[in-house]
Amino acid sequence: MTANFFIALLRFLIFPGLLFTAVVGLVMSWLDRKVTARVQWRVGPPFLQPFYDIVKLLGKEVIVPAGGSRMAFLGAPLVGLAGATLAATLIGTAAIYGGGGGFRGDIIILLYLLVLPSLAVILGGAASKNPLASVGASREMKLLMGYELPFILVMLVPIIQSGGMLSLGNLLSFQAQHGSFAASLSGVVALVAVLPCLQAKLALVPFDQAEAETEIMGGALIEYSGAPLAVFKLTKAMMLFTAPMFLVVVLWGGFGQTLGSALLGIGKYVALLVLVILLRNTNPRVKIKHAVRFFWGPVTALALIAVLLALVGV
Amino acid sequence: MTTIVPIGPFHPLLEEPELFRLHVDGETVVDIEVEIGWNHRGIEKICETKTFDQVPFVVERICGICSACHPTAYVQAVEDLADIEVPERALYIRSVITELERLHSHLLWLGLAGHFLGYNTVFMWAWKYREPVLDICEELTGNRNNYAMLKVGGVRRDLDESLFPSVLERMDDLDKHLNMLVGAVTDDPVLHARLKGVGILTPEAARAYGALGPTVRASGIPIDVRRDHPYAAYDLVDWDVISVDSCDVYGRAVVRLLECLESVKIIRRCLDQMRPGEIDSGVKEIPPGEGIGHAEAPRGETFHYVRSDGTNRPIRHKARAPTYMNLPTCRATTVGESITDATIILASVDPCYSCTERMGVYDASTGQKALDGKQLIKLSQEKTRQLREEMGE
Amino acid sequence: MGLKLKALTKSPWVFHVSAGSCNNCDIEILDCLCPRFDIERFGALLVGSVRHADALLVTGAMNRKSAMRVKKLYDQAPKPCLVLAIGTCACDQGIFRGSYALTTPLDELLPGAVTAYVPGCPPKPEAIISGLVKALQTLQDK
Repeated sequence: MTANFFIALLRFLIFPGLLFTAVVGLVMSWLDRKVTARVQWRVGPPFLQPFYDIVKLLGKEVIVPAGGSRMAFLGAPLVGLAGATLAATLIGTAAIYGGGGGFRGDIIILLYLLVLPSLAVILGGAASKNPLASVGASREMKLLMGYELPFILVMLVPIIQSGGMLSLGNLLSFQAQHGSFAASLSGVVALVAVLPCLQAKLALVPFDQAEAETEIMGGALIEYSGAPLAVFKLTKAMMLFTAPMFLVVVLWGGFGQTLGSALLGIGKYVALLVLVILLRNTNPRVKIKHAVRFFWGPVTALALIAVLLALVGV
Repeated sequence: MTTIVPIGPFHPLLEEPELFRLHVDGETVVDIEVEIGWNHRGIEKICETKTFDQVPFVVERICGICSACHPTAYVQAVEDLADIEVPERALYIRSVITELERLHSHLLWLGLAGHFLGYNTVFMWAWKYREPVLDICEELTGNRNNYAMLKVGGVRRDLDESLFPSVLERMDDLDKHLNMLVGAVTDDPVLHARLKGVGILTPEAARAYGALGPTVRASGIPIDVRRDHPYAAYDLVDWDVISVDSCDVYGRAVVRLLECLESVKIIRRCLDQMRPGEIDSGVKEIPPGEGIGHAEAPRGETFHYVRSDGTNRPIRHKARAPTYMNLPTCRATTVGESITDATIILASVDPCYSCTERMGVYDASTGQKALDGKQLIKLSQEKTRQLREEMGE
Repeated sequence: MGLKLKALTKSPWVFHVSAGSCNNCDIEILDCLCPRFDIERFGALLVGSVRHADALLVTGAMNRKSAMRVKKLYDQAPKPCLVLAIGTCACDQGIFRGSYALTTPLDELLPGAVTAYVPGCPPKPEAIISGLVKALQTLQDK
């Protein structure tokens, strides 16, 4: 019992949880900034830049705005971090240990966990008592309601295809036997529909309304400084790892057991990420109204089509 | 319930301090207040302490990005006052410098507009193309901005003819890049969705507010001082006034881009037609009297008035910058739009506060009223409470 | 030099404060972000909230209205926070010196806070970057 507990703790704190995800996430946020810079004809930051940023922020003064709720203000970033870490642990464990790593229903828990970082932004923004932060928080909330619907619909596709499997491990072994869901027609449609949701989950342009620097000065995070800001930045970087990884595992075959298939899995993840980064650099920010309309209109329709296709079995 | 969202005074949208108070209901703007004075430096008063020959250096620093237009308007006012004939070569040089300035100013605006829309790629690309223009400025005048080229009766320095071939070559490159940018802006469906039909300024409203420059030319009223009241070499070369009648932010962007192409045309022709000759008429004395000068700055008409009593200093100098006229149009354009749109609409007049704020009546007591973020929030909360009470909640 | 300080010198996020300037310096600061100069190479970013800032780039001659704000912004910034006076106006009020609309120069407004002076009208982007680098070096010496 204790041994199991320690293994779980190690998985949560070191691999594939907090430490591993944080390091990979920060490297990926470097990749994001570097690719962005290259698209803009710039040189871009050095490799260790995201690490310097986090260490620096940890060493800075923490200011809690007067009139704000201290508990909620300082607690919010931790909620987001915990959510992202637990999600990364569950996904990583399932991806590495295959069928034995998950438990029944973990895909549903993951859907909840992946919402936590966004909730943390809403909570933190609302707690800081700044009008611009409230605007940011309300935008994040609208966006969340917009993209969660198609996101959950898309998650139905693998569940239907596999005949009602609700565990990541089972989904992975199913894909290992029958080929990845993304190879079927419904899987492709699902992947297309989920891409804008991924963009919004990562709060990248065109769906970065909640943190729109030039409109609302950093929005929900406007009052944050020092360590809490570092935690938010870290959570964002970890989501850069966790969210695309989730899609690779659930829809696109995961990482398999051999070195070759693992490399292929990493390739898929990087491809997804670079696609996200390029989308971010070739689009202006859309209005929150347009974004919600977009998610409830075409994206939801596409997700429904994917579900229907899955139901008829293609 | 109405909340007040402050934009500024130190806001990344504005490279200069300015305070807009947006009264919003949810995300919809119901009213807007502008508070100016953050940049007031008392320039008109300073000018009265300088000699006629020193004033161009001061008015150049009214605004960094209009640093050729303000001196042009000023020297024209003095030339009008003293009835001075300016040599032809000097006129051409004035046109070249003011057009170079228009080029880099419009490119700057395009980049910032992209930045406001969260479209940082546009920001970087526009500013990348802006750099060669600044290089040309540096080669021709010695500085990237604040050229110190204008002088009553002519210009201070001659242009080096040996540089012209390389300048013309870079103008060709710029022409190509500008056409690419025009294509990129007119083809992008997301930009259309963001900009078309946003921030409508009807021709009637534009006239009522006395809007100027690209702001009014995008509302279908083709006024341009360069054509209507020709100065420098604008009546010696062939060019067109750009005007569209879409009345929205998109129209203002298109007008500016197309004007860049016109500026390239004007610069090419000026360099081509320029003949060697005098550049200064050697003014010694300024008689008593008064004079006015106009110049078309990148943002619209700049107007200067100078009065002399026969000494070596102006006894009154008055400047009116285009933003002073354009800024109030925000009331017509932003009310009813969302906060998201408000920022790009405010930016679409290309506000230039340093220009606007030399002359606002300054009340020392307002300095005490400067509020910090916390006070603003308190103020906003108080206002909400008041409004609630008024509405009987 | 501690790890914290080293990280600070590698990741200076700048916030831009314009207090009665002619906006030339402000434009040249923005120019530092652009492809030709690209200060992100040194880890510097332009941030939108003063709470995120490590260095304030102050331009302009400190007019009465904005000087109060500059002081408050400095108080709101999390410490340690560098202050750079960008442009002749911020250094000694330049051509506007003696105007009725101005208060004291920046270094009297924030005594002891100004780390670097970058003169020029406007200073070139190269000069601004050099000023930032030198200001960071003073941190390393401490």
